[in-house]
Amino acid sequence: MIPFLLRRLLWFAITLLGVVTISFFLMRAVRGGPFDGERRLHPAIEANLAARYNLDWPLWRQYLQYLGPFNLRADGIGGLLVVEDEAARLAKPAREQAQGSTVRFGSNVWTFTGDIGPRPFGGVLTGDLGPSFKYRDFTVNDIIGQSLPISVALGSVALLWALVLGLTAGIGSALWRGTRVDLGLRLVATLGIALPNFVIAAFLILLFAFLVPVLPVAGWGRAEHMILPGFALGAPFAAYIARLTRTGMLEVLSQDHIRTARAKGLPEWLILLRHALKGGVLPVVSYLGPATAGILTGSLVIERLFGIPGTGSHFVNSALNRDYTLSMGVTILYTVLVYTLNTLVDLAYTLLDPRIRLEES
Amino acid sequence: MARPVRRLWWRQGLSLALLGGLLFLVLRAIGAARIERADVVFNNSTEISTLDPATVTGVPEGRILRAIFEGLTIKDPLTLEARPGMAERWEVSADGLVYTFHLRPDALWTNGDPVTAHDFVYSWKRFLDPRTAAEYAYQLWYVVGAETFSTQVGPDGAPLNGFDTVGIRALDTLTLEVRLAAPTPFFLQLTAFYPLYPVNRRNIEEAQAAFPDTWQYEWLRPERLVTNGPFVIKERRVNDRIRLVKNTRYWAADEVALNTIDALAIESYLTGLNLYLSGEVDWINLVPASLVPRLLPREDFDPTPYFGSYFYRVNTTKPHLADKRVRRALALAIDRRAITEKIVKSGQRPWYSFVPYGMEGYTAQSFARASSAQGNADGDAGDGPAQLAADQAEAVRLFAEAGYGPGARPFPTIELHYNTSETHRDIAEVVADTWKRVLGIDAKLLNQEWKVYLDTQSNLGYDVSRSAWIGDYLDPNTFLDMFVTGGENNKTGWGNAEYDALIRRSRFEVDPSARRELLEAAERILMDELPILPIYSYVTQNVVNPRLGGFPGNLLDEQFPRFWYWMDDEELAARRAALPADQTVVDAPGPREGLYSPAQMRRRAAGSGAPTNGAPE
Repeated sequence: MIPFLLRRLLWFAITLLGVVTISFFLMRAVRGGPFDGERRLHPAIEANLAARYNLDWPLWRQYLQYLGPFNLRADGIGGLLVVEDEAARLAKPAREQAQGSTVRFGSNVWTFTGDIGPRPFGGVLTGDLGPSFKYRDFTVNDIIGQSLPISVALGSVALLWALVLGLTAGIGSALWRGTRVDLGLRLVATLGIALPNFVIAAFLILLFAFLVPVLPVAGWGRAEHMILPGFALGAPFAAYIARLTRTGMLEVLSQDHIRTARAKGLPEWLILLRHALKGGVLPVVSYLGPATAGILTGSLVIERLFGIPGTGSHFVNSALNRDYTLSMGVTILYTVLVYTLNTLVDLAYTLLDPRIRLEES
Repeated sequence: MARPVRRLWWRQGLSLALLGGLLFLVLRAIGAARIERADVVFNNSTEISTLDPATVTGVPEGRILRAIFEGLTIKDPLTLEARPGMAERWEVSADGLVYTFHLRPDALWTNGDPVTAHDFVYSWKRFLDPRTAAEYAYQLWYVVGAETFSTQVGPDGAPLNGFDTVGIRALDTLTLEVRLAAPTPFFLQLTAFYPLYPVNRRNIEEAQAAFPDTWQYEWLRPERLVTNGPFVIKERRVNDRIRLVKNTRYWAADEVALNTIDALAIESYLTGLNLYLSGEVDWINLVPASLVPRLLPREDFDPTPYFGSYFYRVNTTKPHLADKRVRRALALAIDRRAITEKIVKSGQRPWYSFVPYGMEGYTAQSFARASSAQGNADGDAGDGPAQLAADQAEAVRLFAEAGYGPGARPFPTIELHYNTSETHRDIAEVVADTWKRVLGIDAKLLNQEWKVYLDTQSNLGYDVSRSAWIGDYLDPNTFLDMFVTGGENNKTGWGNAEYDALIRRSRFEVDPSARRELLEAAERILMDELPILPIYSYVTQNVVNPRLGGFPGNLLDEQFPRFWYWMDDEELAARRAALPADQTVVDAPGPREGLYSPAQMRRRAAGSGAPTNGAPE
């Protein structure tokens, strides 16, 4: 398993670098900039703004600065590394003390003098995604840090609900194959896949917020705020899971070991839960990776409709605003999520299916 | 057999732990988000870009900043005239060039420091400093030396000139002297405008010392930000809400009624409206156009004139659009009434001038119309079917005179450029349709995403482009100075020396009526040459809980939370008695006993009738 994970990690690094590089240059190639607005700026003010955000640099230099961890703000590349005694440093005026990035080793202070003027980018390699161009009071890390837990919370509710409903319906469908129950469940599932989640959401709002006002129409802050959006977000996934489960279950139920179990006289429910389900949910497990990433990040419409401050809106808005750093930040986030979740799914596979060994993959 | 069983337990344990962890996260996310409803909740429609008054330019930002900061002056919520704010009084020299502000001695920052003239010198210096990169810096360029200070930059980004070259100085702790380069009749409106709000020097410098790398954000964190307005920021969650609480140190705290206000950042108009209709929000500022007819009869939706103009820019550098007869024909042919009545529908006025409707002491100059034309007249005299037919006949005549139309040269296809939006598309369709019918012009629609659209417009890469402009302050100058030759917001390639001269002369004219005549003459030139085709004059789109008091509409659609209060049932009934007959009463949630400021309570106890909270209703 360890070599497998190491190999994955290596590919992860390569993929991420590729994604960062390509999206950085794609983003800059798009027409329009972060500071273009209805009111066009005076050229001098525009130049001041560009200088403040390093937008007046050649693109390669902006890229290196973004990637980090070097600070390229000073003249030339990099700055000076000054090593001095703590006491000597403290003797200097406060203004000079505040300059540069410092690291302490014992009584020595290492100061990198490259840093003058406004906050430099720490660089993606150091985990610093930089300041947002649009939401100027926050770093991209702040924004993701605040919005991701909300999307995760909403996504978890949606996923749990999708799993519970999807598995139950799928098993039921397989169990009563060909009956009216099966037909009904399959019809609902097809409907669930066909209807976009915002249509479901609109119906839900009309029903539970206006006709029978039991739930809030929108907002975030209380448990009941999660019910409608969670349901709407999870519905298409529930439908898909139901179909996967049904197919998987039917395939397993026709296999020899099930016949053996039946011949031994085990009760049907036990056969189903202990012997059939394990194989039957394999397609669902492999679907869970992309589904989780999709639920966590693809809730844009639902988040917008219910006014939920998750990451979803940033995916579109950051690109529309030409908020270079935020848009890069959410792209990186998405890459990390998809990659991690797919790796987890592969790991889960080995636990569920003894026929699969990671070393062979 | 033992091994697999153990593994099974381990697996079940793992999945249980995962599930538990997930549930814990969910509960924590909810727990952290739990918050009581504020006295007043309004939808600010978007996450604001920053709380730093020096670097913002947007309307949503203005709504928050007006609540937490205060400038030298504040605006009257109805008339928008300057009233004392941080300055309790001021003098203006006879030539209109020197303003002396006397600050009130009882004004405090939220950290307890007094607000002084030095604070304004510091803040305005910071505002003008090129390194601050303030987008609105030009709003203070009326001051002597300010423009040079902002725009002449050394290689290190610092200004080349010292701040002593700028006409801003503190005569003593409480006296601020500002010398202007030209008399600026709207200067006292600008001192109430958010870019000119003061910031606290200690706030910034302490953050700089404590966070050498990240002070740019750190000084603005709610727990560190020092302000001087009626409210302070208690909490701020990205894309969710800003919680404001009453500032007990505010000099007029006695006049402030509300204890808490929430500003939501909900972007969808529909969600905003849903929240309003379910009583969770008390004020929204935009509604979906398709729902306007259903909202219009309600007492809580009352569109009032808004100081904005919707128009089309014409690229005058294109050979076929360079002839002003062609542009006039295009302007005359548009069926504005179809646009205001069938598309935007909230009572916007068909408009034939650039300066919008509603500006007192100024007569908007309309372009010349068919013989019986009534300029911007109301009703059928202005844009009835007969008048439209006459105007369109005139358009055909002008078009033929310019050498186009049936039997003459064919007119090249026009691209009608707009930013992606249903309303803009519908309007463009009406315009393209009338041009086709009346003038036989083929007009193609071209929509572009916002930033690309702006880029196209700035680079004159269009034929005719949808535009809009909202005034920053109540003066025709905020519209007319856009179209001086080479102005960065001109974007039409048009220029006229006489126009430029009139605008320049108006800057130095002290006499109000002479100045008005100069501006009117300038607008007449603009409307004769028509580098822009006016379409309609804006109205506001506020939907407000009828119980919310201290919320009069005004031409700039600026609201002032300092004056807000909840009416009790009695006052609400009195207000409803004065409603026009065609308006239907709607639900007015909120405290039935009202919520009044201490000063209002005293006035009520004294029995002086309905409270006015110092704000005219």
